Amino acid sequence: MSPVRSINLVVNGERVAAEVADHLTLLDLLREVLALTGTKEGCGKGECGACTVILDGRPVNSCLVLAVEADGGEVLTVEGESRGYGRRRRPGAAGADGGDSAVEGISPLQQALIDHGGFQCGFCTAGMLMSARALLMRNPDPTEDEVKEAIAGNLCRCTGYKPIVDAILDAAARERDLERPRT
Amino acid sequence: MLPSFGYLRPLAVKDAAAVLRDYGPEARLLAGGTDLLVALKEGLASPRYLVDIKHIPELRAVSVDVDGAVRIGACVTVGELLETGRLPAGAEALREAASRLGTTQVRNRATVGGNICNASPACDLAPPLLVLGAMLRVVSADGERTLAVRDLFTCPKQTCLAGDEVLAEIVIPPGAAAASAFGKRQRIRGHDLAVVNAAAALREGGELRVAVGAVAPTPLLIQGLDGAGAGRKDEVLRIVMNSISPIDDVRGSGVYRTHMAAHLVSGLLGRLAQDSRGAGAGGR
Repeated sequence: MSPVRSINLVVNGERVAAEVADHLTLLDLLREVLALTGTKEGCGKGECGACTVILDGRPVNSCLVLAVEADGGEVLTVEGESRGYGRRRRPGAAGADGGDSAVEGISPLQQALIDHGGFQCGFCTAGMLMSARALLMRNPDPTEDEVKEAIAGNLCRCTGYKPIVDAILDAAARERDLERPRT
Repeated sequence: MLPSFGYLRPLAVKDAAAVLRDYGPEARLLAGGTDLLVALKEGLASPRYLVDIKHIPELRAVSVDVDGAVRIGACVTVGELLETGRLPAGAEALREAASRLGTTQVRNRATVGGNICNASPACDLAPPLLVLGAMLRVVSADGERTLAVRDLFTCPKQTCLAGDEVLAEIVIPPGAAAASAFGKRQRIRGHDLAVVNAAAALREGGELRVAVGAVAPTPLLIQGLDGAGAGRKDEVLRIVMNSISPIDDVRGSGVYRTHMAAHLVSGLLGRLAQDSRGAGAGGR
């Protein structure tokens, strides 16, 4: 039996303390312990990207990270995306989306995915959002090739990828627009 | 679900080596985990302990010696290797290979040391490290040694490292190459192991080195090229083709690999010839 130990980390901006077995993955910590079931398990082997989360600022396959390895770290999941984590805000903006999304409480990235038909079954979507968010955190003005490279580790069986790529490019433009000071 | 194990986190290389000495095959080193945790999930390994070596500072650094040698800590991630500004200009093959390894998510965890110590014949960092003549600093509980990367690989998924040895650093010697290039044939864009991969490097004096992966039980530094410069393409290709012995597997047939190896190496030689012409004409 694995020993159990205490870990502390920040998940979507909130401090979390948990007692975990050494062999618990970060994915299972999120889903089974913290009930953050937005992140999905696809292959469990780091090949499909459905489990992508942002750990210490970088997108990773959470199925291949141990919870104990994330001790002291900072994690962003899709649940945090709708609360605006990882985005720069227009000064004075109220909501997570800067007030410009049709549906309250979702980000421009999520709204763009809706607008472009960027999901069908939705299983890859959380991972796609996290890979896209990680890209936009580093590069707010990506080219189409950079978007494709960013989601190259996220498999989708439904959409054919084009609507997802279009949505990310559109969302990047919307977010750049949101960050411009209004005159 | 992973099988049970205990998690250890030494803060010094010697301590990690001591754990390996004390627990033998019951302990496995955990770097990026992108190979090891998959092996655990597939039942291919069942260690009692995982020894996380990512908290050992000397394993995480990229530094440049006064003589120009570049030291890459074994736990530097592939993503960090891409971002470091410290790779010498002639080591382009290493940077390219890093950019083609896995996916963004994998590169943020997979490590330079882990990739070569997992010793897949198709591992992407082997061909560039072979043509750059990289040296490896290896630490055990009571000493350390240095070996050439070409001596690391013994057979598929096996290295020459003893059970209590920890790869600490990968060192690119000063003046390793004036120019180098990497190529990888994948079935898909995105996450795929190489069907064939290859690297070539030109040293200052014009000496050519070529390495090819996924065409033999280990990544292969091509022997017998002495004197054949990048300009003698046909002779180089003949030597390469006589050196490789690709098999059929799920990613491709031996015949396909043979053709692709020739195609990749030919392309690399062309790029190196172009680079040196450009440099001669003041292009770089």
